Amino acid sequence: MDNVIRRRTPGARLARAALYAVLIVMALFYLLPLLIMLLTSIKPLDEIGAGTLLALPEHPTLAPWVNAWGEACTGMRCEGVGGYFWNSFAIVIPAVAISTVVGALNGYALTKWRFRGSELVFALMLFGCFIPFQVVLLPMAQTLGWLGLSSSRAGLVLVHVVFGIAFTTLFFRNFYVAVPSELVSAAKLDGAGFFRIFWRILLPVSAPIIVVSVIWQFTQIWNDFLFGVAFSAHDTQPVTVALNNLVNTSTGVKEYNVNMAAAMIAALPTLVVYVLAGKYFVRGLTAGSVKG
Amino acid sequence: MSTPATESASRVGARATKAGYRGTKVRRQRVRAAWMFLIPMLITLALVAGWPLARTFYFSFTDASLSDTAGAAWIGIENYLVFDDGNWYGILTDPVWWQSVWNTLFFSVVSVSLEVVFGIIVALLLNAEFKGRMLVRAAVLIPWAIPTIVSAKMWAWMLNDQFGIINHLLMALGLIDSPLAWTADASLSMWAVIMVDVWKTIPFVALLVLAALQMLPKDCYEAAEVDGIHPVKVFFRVTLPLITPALLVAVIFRLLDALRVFDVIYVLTSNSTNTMTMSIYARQQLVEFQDVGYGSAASTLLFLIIALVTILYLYLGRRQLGVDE
Repeated sequence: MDNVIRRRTPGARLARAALYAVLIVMALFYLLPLLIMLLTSIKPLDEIGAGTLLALPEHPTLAPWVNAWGEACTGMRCEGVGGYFWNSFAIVIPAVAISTVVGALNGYALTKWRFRGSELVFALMLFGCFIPFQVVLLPMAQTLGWLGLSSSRAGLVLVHVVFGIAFTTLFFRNFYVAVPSELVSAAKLDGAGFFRIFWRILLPVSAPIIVVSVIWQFTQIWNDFLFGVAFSAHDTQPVTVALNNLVNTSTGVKEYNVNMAAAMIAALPTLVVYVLAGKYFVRGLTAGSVKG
Repeated sequence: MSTPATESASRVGARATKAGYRGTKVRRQRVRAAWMFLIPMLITLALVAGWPLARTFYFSFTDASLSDTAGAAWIGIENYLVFDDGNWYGILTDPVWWQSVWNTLFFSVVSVSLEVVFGIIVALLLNAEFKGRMLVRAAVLIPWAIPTIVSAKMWAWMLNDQFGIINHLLMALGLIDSPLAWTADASLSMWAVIMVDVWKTIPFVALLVLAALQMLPKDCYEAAEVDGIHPVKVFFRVTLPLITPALLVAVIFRLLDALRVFDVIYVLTSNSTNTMTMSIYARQQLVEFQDVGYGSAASTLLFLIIALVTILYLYLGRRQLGVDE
């Protein structure tokens, strides 16, 4: 691949320039919306109406951010998105941890402890990845009601874990397929049990796929809107739902700077995760999660 | 499946034939341990995922309403199709439903195709060596990292016909004379939605393709270079076949996601029939018209379509998803 670019043909220099041009346009196309959001979120309201969206703020201010965090109205309440931001963390962290652990054990059981029907179990789980969530919303709400978990954070965690397991199992299974079974067979002969083999043989090599699974799950669950809006009450809402309420609250002047600041706040954790760990995500995928 | 009955039967068998007794017994114990671990999880999955699904199927054959699901009466397939007083009624005769089926298919095929083509291009670019590669890689990931609800809102602002930046830019460049109503115009709104979806999910496809590209053996390319084969030919003859498995994974993920698309369209164009998809149709019936029976029928049809695609795909590309190794 690299050779296409690196070749020292007469047109190489031109190709090089074209490559950079395309890259810059691409980066702009991708970063422009974010830039507009960021610029708008630090402008006072009167500057937004006056200038273009791309103009630099004349009097940059953090007031919209403070407002979005602690004062802006989301529906009937006016206490900003701050509390909902922590709600999201309270939902995401246990859900990611549980679904990753269960996914890892599933992937391990399905590859190293094959039994009759294990392929069927896997196919069914795969199917679980793609159930259209709208289909199960109403009965799911009833199920959560029976379990005494309706409108609670625990209920949301359960839902996310259940629908996340399908994906994490897929990741871990495809990763563990590549781990030599001879190692596991040898350990079995030596009398090591289910968990011991997992702990001593599979887990030590799992770092790349754990990263993939955690990042994937974190993004999916943090960014979820549908489950959040369907299964939460006022004080258990995730930040995406609060953001939607904030933007749709139509009392008085539309404060675009506050809206954008709130949107930035809602998007910040996943952005941080990708900027810090994106490299490992790509590396982890390379290590085998997409191999057949 | 190895039921307890067959399990104990084979254990008796193993005891009878002393040969290989130890290996078989230990193995069976271990397999049982794996099962013991899997069974509670399967039961949980069945309860929390399977049961609601079954309830939805059931509701689709009743006249349940949102305020009264307990008193629902069985009405057979009337939600789907019924002949009454010389006329056909039911979801299968609703032009809005068929419109939303068509919209969903159109949206899925067009957006996934665009995402695959651009995803490959982006991945090839990102695989090249250039200064600031890590930065561009991070930048490209941003749209995928941002919550859909945020990016959809952001694009709604940018596409706004009065003060949106898109109209502003296009007019400044002289490409259009008057502002366009991107999300309201019947001929534009579907393309606006597709553009936002493509913007958001190219990174995902590019990432999977990039991962595959990085695993390609270098020697093929060295050989091709020595033989002086044109890079374009190398791409179609060597690269493309080698990344096909990764592409198929990307396509199935994206296709199944696109078929159930909801939030991006709901935020941008709400319930407009120009862009109404099956998911939006089902939600409108369920929540706004409070007709749980009818909405469940729509959901069931949506589910069947997705099931069909999944099965077809698993059948065609089993190896790629690792189901049949």
